[in-house]
Amino acid sequence: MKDSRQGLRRLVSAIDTLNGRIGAVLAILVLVMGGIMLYEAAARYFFQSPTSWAAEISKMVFGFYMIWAGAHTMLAKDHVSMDLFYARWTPRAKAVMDCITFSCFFLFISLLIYKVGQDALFSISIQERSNSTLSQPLYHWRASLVVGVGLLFLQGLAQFIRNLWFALYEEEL
Amino acid sequence: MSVDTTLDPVQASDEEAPSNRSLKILAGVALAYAVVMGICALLGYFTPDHKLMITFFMFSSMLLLMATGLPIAFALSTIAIVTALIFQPSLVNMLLFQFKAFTLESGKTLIAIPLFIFMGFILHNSKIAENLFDAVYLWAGGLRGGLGMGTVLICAIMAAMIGVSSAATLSMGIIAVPAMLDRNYDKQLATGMVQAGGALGFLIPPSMMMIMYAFVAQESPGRLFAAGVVPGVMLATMYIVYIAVRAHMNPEMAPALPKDQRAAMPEKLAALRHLVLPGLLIVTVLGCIFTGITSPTEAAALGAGGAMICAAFKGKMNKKTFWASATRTLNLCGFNAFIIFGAITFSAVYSGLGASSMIRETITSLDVNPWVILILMQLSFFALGMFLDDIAILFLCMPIYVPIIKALGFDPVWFAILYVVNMQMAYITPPYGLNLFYMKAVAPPEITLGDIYRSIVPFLALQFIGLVLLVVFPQITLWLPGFLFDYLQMKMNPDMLFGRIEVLLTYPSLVNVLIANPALLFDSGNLINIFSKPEVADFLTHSAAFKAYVFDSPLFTELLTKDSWLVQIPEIGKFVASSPEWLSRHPAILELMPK
Repeated sequence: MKDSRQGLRRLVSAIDTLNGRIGAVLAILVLVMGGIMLYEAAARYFFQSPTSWAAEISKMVFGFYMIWAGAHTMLAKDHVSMDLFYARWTPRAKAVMDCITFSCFFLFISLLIYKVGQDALFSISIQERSNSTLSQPLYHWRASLVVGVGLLFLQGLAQFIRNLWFALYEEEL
Repeated sequence: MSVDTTLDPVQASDEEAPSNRSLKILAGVALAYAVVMGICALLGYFTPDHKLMITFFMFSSMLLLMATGLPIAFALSTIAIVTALIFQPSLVNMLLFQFKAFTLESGKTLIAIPLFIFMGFILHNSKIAENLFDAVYLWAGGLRGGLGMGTVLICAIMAAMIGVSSAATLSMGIIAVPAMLDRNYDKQLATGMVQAGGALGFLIPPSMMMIMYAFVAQESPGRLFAAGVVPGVMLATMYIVYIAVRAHMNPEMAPALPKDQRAAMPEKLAALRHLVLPGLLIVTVLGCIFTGITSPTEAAALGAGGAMICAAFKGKMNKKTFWASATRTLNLCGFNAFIIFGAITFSAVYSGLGASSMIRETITSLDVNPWVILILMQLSFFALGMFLDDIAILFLCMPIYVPIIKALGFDPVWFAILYVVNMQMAYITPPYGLNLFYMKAVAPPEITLGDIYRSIVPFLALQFIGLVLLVVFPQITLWLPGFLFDYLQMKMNPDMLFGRIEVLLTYPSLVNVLIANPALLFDSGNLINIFSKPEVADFLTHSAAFKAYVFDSPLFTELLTKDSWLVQIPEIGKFVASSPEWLSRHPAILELMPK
């Protein structure tokens, strides 16, 4: 397996770079959400014409932002864990434990992708639209969320490869 | 919120050498646990009928899994899935339902979270904590214990600017604690106040936890924000008084600055100049929410925009500030998203198996004083808070607790405040007290973990006294939201009053709002609304001012003549009949009265 080191290293850093770049774009969305809310408030107060779309579009941007943020959070190791015991272990013990608990993460994310993915496929097949007066298409958005969860999965995989390497050879990949 | 590791990427590190002893213990416990569960399974307890088994299995395996260092969010989701697979595989679809609900529906309330977080980070990165501390140093340094009292005040102000807690603990741990130690402050007093003060962020609006509670309990975020103000100020005052008393009794503990280090007035005033704009911003944001001018989410957007303007005025609004703030906001939101999703899935599976309704029925059918149940719930929060993240507790417990609280006749807004004060205590209580870790991470090396543990004891006691006060006197919490939302907003928007007329019973002077708006009052639809509640109708029938005005108004006669069916409504009929003198002057209406 040691021969594959170069390849694995490239894979892992490619995932990191991908999620890092995506995160930089996503971070700007907070301004978009703020902008929509401010525009809505201004339209209501100063132009007496509340928008019909602001509430729904901002909810969709929010959902997208929150789900896609997961991968970048994992890249930054900001998914908080209860490291009461964990913090005391040796680096190798940590890596071994992370490899074991990756099975939980894998179970959760793969099931989530499967369920949400199936739903997105169904949504595309019926060209789902929102059931409000706005009736804007929802199916692209549903499909995009699956991609967001997929990115989180990729990041988890990258972390797993790193941990596995450390657990096996006791050195950084 | 445990989220602020992002604020400064410090790890809660212990000085002891790494040791795998706890790992071996954990492995032993896991093995024993697996054996016990195996026996239970063989005995046939793993069926959906054994609600207690389900409860025990879900919560204990959650704690066990979290002890492995797996992020809490994934531990919750995993247990939810595994439980569903064991007990009732169709419940795995909860993943999909909760995902759809969370992504599309939660935004209405929760969109305020990224915006408030962003606002906080921008203010934080524009060095607001340093400015505040400079001002306090100059203004309060001359008093005994002044620096300490000022530090608590800063924590309270930062709580109003930065909705995520622990921001204050981290920055005051870095700035204020060394400064106080230099001035020979007692180590434990200095660290204790920073930890307790930092936890005020939950209570003083805008608070992320309140927004999340609003989402779970379907309450108004504005009302929750308002409810946190008085208890937050009360706790801060208790800390300040405590420091003042200690400093007065024992001047060695918290000495005043020597005379030659005290500042003159011009210097003092100059220190305030950086605080004017952020102060205005907070007043504007909260003012917009409390007066109902904008929704809390729009106010959050206003805050985010305003914070950037404040930073720009200080010359700190550069690329670095923006990217640091936006990236940390993103990371925090990703964490929040998955922990919320995990916890709601967990509690959906738990409810789906019928366990939460079992608990609800058991509790509501218990023939005990409702207060006993309330106190038991508080104890459960405190106990869970020792091991679990506050967001996780919120989303796990509230779907079960809030319906019980409502059924028992308690106010859910008041309950939210009790919960939040409880979480403040959890934050400074070992073993899983995040403020303790943050404090340890940033404290100067001469402060040991033992110092930090001992330092919180008096503040924990103060918080406990505060909690008891809030339980015994609900008015402390409910006075301000009632005044703002049931009185002030009704005065400002009379048309809202007709939809929520029952507030008249709490604020009788609102009758004047009815009197001041004849166009709204003498409208058949609104009149029916007003008299639709027997208690309100009874109140109006006995209100001299209201009667004098109504029976004097030609509009009333006109309305009753035009819509002759109005007097057929029993409450309105009774009201009209209460003035026989007026009826005798209006024979036409007397004719219409039901016989």
